[in-house]
Amino acid sequence: MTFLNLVIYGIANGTLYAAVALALVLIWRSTRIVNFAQGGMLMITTFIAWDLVVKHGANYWVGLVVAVLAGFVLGAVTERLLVRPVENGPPLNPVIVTLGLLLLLQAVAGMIWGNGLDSFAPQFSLHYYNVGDQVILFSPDYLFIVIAVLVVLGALYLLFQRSPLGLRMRASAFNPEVARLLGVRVGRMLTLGWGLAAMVGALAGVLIAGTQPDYMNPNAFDPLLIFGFTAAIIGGLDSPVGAVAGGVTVGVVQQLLDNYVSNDIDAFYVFMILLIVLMVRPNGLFSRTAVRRV
Amino acid sequence: MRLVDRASWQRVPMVLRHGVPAVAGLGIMLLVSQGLSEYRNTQLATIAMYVCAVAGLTILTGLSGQISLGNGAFMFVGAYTVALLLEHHVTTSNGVLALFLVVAVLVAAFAGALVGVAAARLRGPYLAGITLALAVGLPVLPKYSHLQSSLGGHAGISVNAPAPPGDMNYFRWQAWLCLIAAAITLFLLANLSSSRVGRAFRAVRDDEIAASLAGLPVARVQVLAFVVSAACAGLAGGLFGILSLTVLPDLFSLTLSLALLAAAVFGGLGTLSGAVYGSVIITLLPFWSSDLARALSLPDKVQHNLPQAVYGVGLILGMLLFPLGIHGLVRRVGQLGRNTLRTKPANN
Amino acid sequence: MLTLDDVVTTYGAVRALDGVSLNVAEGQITAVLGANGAGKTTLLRTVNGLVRPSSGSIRFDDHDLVVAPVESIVTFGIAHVPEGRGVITELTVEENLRLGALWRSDRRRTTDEGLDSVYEMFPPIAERRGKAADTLSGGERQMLAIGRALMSRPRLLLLDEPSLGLAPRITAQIMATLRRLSSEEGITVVLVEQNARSALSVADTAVVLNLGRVVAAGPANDLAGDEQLRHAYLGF
Repeated sequence: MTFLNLVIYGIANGTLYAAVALALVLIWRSTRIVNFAQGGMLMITTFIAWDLVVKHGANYWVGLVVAVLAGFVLGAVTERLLVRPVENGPPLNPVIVTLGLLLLLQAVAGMIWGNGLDSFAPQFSLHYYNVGDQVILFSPDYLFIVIAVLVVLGALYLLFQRSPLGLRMRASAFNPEVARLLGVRVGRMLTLGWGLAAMVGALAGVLIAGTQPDYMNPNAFDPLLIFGFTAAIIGGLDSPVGAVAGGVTVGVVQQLLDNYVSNDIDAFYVFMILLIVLMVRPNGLFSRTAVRRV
Repeated sequence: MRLVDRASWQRVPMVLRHGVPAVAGLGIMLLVSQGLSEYRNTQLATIAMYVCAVAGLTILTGLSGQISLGNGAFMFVGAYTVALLLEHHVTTSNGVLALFLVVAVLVAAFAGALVGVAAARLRGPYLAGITLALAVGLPVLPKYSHLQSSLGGHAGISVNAPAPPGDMNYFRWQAWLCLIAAAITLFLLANLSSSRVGRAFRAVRDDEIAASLAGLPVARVQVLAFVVSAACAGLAGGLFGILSLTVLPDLFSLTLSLALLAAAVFGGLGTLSGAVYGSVIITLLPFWSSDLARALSLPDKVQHNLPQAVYGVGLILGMLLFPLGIHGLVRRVGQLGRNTLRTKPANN
Repeated sequence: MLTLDDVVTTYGAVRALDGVSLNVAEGQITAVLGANGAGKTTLLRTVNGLVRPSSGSIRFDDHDLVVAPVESIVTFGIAHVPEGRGVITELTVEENLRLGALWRSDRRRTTDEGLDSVYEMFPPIAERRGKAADTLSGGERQMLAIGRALMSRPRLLLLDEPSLGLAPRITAQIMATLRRLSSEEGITVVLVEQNARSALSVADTAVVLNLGRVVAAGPANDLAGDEQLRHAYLGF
């Protein structure tokens, strides 16, 4: 029973990592850039929601929607102002720019909201379900989390695979020059892609902040970025489905190690998982193609 | 006139060419430290400590083209090595302390080799990601329940460094220790950079395929660059531990690793003089920003976060506006000055 | 219809196009011939705006192509079949085709009609409509690229080396298709080719480029009959 419970809890947590991984994959696919600022972006948007809901008494759903919209704006503005100028330069430059943005966003959050610990209570109960006299490590809040992430996945699938806009975005990502010749405004598609990705990240931020008391701190979201990145790498960076599989994998492995080894060193596990995966498959477990050499 | 100078300068053996400035620079800085207050000597020590780490990182990223967001983790390795050695072998000898620092360098280099072997196969975002995970993942190890007794857990371990020799002032002794270490590091790295190994680093950075066709063992060269930068970070970590008096996991945050990168970028990637400029900036920035915040009477939380905000803005603007960093700026100003000097006689 | 006047395009110090003037007449097939590095591909990239000329003018009807954004070229009625097939291999055959009509405001209607006629014209790709484009052979990719260009209902079709790497039989099929498009649908075609023999077999007029300059221009038959020219520039 313990094992099963750990797997359930791991999967539930893993959907959050999957959402962050998805945000990273969406951007990687369209611009071949890993957005290290994602952790900072979702932290800021979560603080905005927290400020509205907890400090100003707004409705939880209003806070959630505002956070997600703020995520879109933040992502789109970042692409336009900061990423566009370094997009075609050496690959090191966007890495440094997004890391700089991460530091800046964390500093700004600290300046506005301080570096203390605050709680952001979730909309649904954190009390575990009981089946008979057995406790299941799954709560209404986690049910909401899993459903929310699945809904986002479904919406993204429909957008990318079934809509003309999604077709334009995919064409821009895969072959920008041909897309432009076919009349697609590639620059606009990239901005939109960053906005969408940051929306997914923003949702994950608000959802994870509710899972633990005292979560709200500018640095508390760093592990989420690292876990999400690991999930994305396991998934091969290129595949949304791989990102979800990677997220769930990381979530479950983390719970098992926490329980059977020690729960003090999550960050070290992630490093080891990443190291092992990259030793075995330098381009990720689920990747189909090698990294393109230009 | 200049050309002749440069040519004859280049005939001087490399060891002398880099050794003379290193010794002269060290001598000047040691003299300077005599006239400084205890407070300023601590700052000087901190700058010199950072120079060791940033110089290693700038060689790795600027010369061999690999990025590392994880050199704070190698500082962690060096710091804990020195702290543990001092805990188990209490010493009053500065010679033994120097030996312990060498051990810290070796242990960090070994850790660098382990990571480097994995890293050499990785490119761009993968490499950035694994080193980021290293920066966050390694320094939590002391919190592991089975290691808590030996590594001190959250509270860390105190660093029982020996007393200064003779009646030397404690803070000046710290500054001297770090300055000597920085001078040795810069001297060795300058030689490395202009040696065959340095050329191999550049060749691999510029075009891996061409380098391997020219017979360079690309993977070995990349691992070597990683080992060099880890060794430098290990030395800096050992000094960091001595300066901090206690080593604890939270000292080696992701922000430390990113501050090292920021320093290398600010100074100008790949240049040792840039590593010095960058180290000065990241050391003094917190002091400047708290002075500024006090002058403007900004709230505490603003003051507390100001240095990090400047790192962030600096990294972004550095990449967007001055990709060559301060080193590039200084050189451009220097060239401008020389050009005006040179054109003046022609105009007359 | 398409007029280039004294166009100069440079890559750094290299003048890839060195004062090219050219007039493409409506309804005709114009072949642009020349060896590797003669400036043929640069000519097309300058026309569609991927490269901007340093001087000269390019006009298509009333549009000034020197300043027009790349994305707007297709809306003027110009469709481009890029070099090396230019199909997006990660998308399916049908998605590639849909992309061609995506800019049109009446795409709901035109897409279905367009798909029907493209599949009718190229049966091999009709069979593979749901497959990823990277499963297609070279000839099928060329058909797909032409089909995608036709989805936008162009008046001018620009083709960059459509015969490159194809078997002679497939090349002949492609050339016959172009001839048919020109005579039956009235589409104007600019055909950039290194394979001068096949291009001249379907072209009405031809232009020969060498080192960025026009060295010969005239009716395709005349050029094909000029033995000296053929030996010097066309290699057959």
